[in-house]
Amino acid sequence: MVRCEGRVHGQDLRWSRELTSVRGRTNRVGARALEQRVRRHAQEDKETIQDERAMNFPLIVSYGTGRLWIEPRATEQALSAVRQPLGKASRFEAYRGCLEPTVSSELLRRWIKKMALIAHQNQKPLQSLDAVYGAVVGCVEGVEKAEYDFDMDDIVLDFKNGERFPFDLLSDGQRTMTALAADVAWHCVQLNPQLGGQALRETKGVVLIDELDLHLHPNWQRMIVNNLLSLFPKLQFIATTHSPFIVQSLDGQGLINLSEDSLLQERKDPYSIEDVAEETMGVEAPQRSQRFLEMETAAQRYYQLLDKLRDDKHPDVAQAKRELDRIEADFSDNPAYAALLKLHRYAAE
Amino acid sequence: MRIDQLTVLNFRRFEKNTFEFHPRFTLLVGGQRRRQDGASGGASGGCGDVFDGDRQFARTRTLYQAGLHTAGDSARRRVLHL
Repeated sequence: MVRCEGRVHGQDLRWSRELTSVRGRTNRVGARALEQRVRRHAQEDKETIQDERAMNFPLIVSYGTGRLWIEPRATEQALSAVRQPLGKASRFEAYRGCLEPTVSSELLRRWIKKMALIAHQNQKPLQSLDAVYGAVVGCVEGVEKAEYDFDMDDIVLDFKNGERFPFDLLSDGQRTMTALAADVAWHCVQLNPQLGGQALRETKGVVLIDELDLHLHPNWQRMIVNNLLSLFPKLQFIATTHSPFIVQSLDGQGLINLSEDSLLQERKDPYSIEDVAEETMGVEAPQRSQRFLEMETAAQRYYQLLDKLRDDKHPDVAQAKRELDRIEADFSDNPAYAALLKLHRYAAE
Repeated sequence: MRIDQLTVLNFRRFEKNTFEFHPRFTLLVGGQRRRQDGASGGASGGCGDVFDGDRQFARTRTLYQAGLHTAGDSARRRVLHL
């Protein structure tokens, strides 16, 4: 069962959903009161404002880890936003499937192509299209211009180093971030077309992102939070990550540590990448590789066993020799290390 | 709209946890993948419930997808400032 408590324009409401069997459907209690409250408020707003087009709709959208690879099915309803891109389709269409953890790069491509055609036909730029291009330029590292290239029949990014690549030839990180930034921006301009070029700055709402660092180079991971916050200043982002670089970029603000180890700390002051890995993420001795730590532990054990060898009467000499052989074999790929161990063994034997 | 607080009860890897979300950017770190899924899935499911009063609003993430696999599981969420 899911029980919710919410405040909808000052009124406290409760509603719940329950799944009584794995294969069954959920039932709802209290959702009708929520619906009626939302409808009544919408009606009141309509009467007050006189123009429903002036109402700002909140953005709610979720992106999962498969966002680059899972292309949702293009339904007729979803395509209506592409066929009628200039606010003629219902603004509510932007909510369709918004909590499915995917990005439809194909729908985005079609929408951008259609908008680019309209802009070309009218011989003037479209603010909503420019806002989407602006989000891509602001979020994808090294990009200075985004546009639709009719010759390549694809979205094309111009980089500051003079390179020019269509969407399909971008790296996974660039494609992930291009699609995510463009999709958030597209939702903003579809929900609030009345805001024009200000839709990105003025739209409120919640964006959920799984594995924000997906496919991103560490340099880019350090900038992504600031890029998103500056492009979408009124949105609330809730993201998960395993990247110490992203954790470090937050400077301790808004960090929730889900580790079961209560000893892990959330620091509020700027700290090094090693401190983030060790104190916040529980990585042991991040300055050294796992292999180095294994070698260190093995060497300590090796020298303990050598002490046993020196004592001929020790009951575990045979077992100690077998374990020494195993350690030597485990690290035989490192000749210098193995030779050093053997040198000490010969001396002991 | 924003989410200020999320409380999950017997949900995924949490017996009971309350998360205070930052108004701008909240980063869920550490722990195993399923614990992160528990927190983000709870937020996603809570947002989905907001839509379900009106069928026009879209196919939303179902309870099953959000991680409530059995009737015994429960989650309590608080979605403020809608």
